Amino acid sequence: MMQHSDRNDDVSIVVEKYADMVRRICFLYLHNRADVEDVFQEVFLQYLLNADQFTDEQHQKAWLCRVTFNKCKNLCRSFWRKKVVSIEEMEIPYESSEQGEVIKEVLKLPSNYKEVIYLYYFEGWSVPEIAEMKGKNLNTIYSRLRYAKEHLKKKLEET
Amino acid sequence: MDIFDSFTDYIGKVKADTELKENTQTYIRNALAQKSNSEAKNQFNATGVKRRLPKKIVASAFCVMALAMISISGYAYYTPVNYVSLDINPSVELGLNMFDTVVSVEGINYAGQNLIKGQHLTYMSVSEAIQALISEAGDQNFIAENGSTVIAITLETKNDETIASLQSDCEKSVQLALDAMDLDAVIYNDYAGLEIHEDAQKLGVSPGKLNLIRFMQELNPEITIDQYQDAMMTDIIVDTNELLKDQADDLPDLADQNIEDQTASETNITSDTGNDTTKLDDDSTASEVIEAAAQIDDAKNGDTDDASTGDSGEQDIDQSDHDTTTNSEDQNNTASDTESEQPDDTTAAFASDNEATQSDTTQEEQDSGQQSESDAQGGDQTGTDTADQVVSDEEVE
Repeated sequence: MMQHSDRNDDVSIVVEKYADMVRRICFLYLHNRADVEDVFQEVFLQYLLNADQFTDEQHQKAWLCRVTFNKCKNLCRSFWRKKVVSIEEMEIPYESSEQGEVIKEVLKLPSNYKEVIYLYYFEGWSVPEIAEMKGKNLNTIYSRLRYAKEHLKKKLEET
Repeated sequence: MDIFDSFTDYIGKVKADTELKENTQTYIRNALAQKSNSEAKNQFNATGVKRRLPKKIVASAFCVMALAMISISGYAYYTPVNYVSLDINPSVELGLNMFDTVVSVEGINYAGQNLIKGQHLTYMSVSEAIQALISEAGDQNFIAENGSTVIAITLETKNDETIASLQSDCEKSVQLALDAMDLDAVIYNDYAGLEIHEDAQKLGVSPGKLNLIRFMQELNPEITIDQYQDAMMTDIIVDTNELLKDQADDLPDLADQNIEDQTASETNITSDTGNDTTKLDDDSTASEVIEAAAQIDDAKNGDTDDASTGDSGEQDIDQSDHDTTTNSEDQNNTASDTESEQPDDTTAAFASDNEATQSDTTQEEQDSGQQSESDAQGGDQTGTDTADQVVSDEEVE
């Protein structure tokens, strides 16, 4: 079993390395500082408890992505959060109104589509990698990407 | 510019701030400080960064608490804390919860089981249940018309504070039910500890009877429970009173306190009220028994007394004779019709004007104590018309 000091170092490295990624995923789902902190604590604590099982960096990153997505979705499903928690304003200003519209429409997409868009366009994962991580068929991932793209175009044309 | 380029541009700017990272690392380090991983999962750190409890756990805890409260209140509602044993000879035991609502009904003997058959006494108030039982007992002729039947109400409770109010409620309910049926009875009140409930169940006798039989056994150890298991309360009270009298005779010192008749019971009642703090259960039971026995005697002797005091009845009759000297023809006819149903000897008794050899039937007919004024007048007319009837009978003969 890993010693406490080793784990401390490991967690510090992982938090520094993946905090931005976790924060971005949180941005897609959560708009409340307290919720983001909750997810951060839960994700990295769970990492600590499972640190021994990761084979390589890619595995580690995929695991953190999956766990963060799940934590965020679970929090969004919470009845309490839906009814009570207030939504804070966006922290970062948009460069243009067009960018603002794009971001707003992306955030309105169903969670499965947001997830695929983030992984494909921002993280640069291939469709087979996403399919493997999600445990889905390749065509399902392609369909989601196509639908998200068409939906966004349509919405932006409308506006 | 592709729409997703602006998306990636914007999202690339989203970064975890230093505070967020530090808070997370502090939280993780504190979690690491815990001995086991399981403890670390739900740990609150000491630096004030609180990890909120998952809502599911809070909701589950709330549900468990709510269920526990419902279970406890349900248990409290459905569990009997006091019992009321109602004995005539049908013996019925009512289990009462803390709100004096009936939550269990048990017919102790066969007659008791018949009495509660078809009655839905559960969830009634104790008053309603007792009224229903007394009414049913009256309908099934368990209560004698002469008022000599003893209706015993024995409370089984461990809370002495409830005895007085509950006893009063029960007695009022019995009296109400009796009044509704135009009947009279001797109401005997007693109480015992809750332990008698289990003893009585083991012995197959009602707690009320068992309490009294035990009292009898103190007076005469040769008495057995079987001897009085199926006896009517009236008989038990009478026998207990006899035992008390015997004891009073054997102990001349106590003779002044326990003498027969009404005087004795009045003395006991007075002593009860005067010595509340030192009153023993036995004394209370003895005085209740003596009082009840005196009432039984009164009720039983009531008929005889009425018969022996037939003079007053006759006087009333005579008086009303004078008042109603102008009887209508219809009244005479009615009286004659009524009289014609009387046996000849009864008619003769009326005609002989209060002879000592009056039959019981005639005495009852003329008893003014339990008759209304109109009845008395009717009897009166019967009396006057009887003479005519006798004459006409003689003429016929």
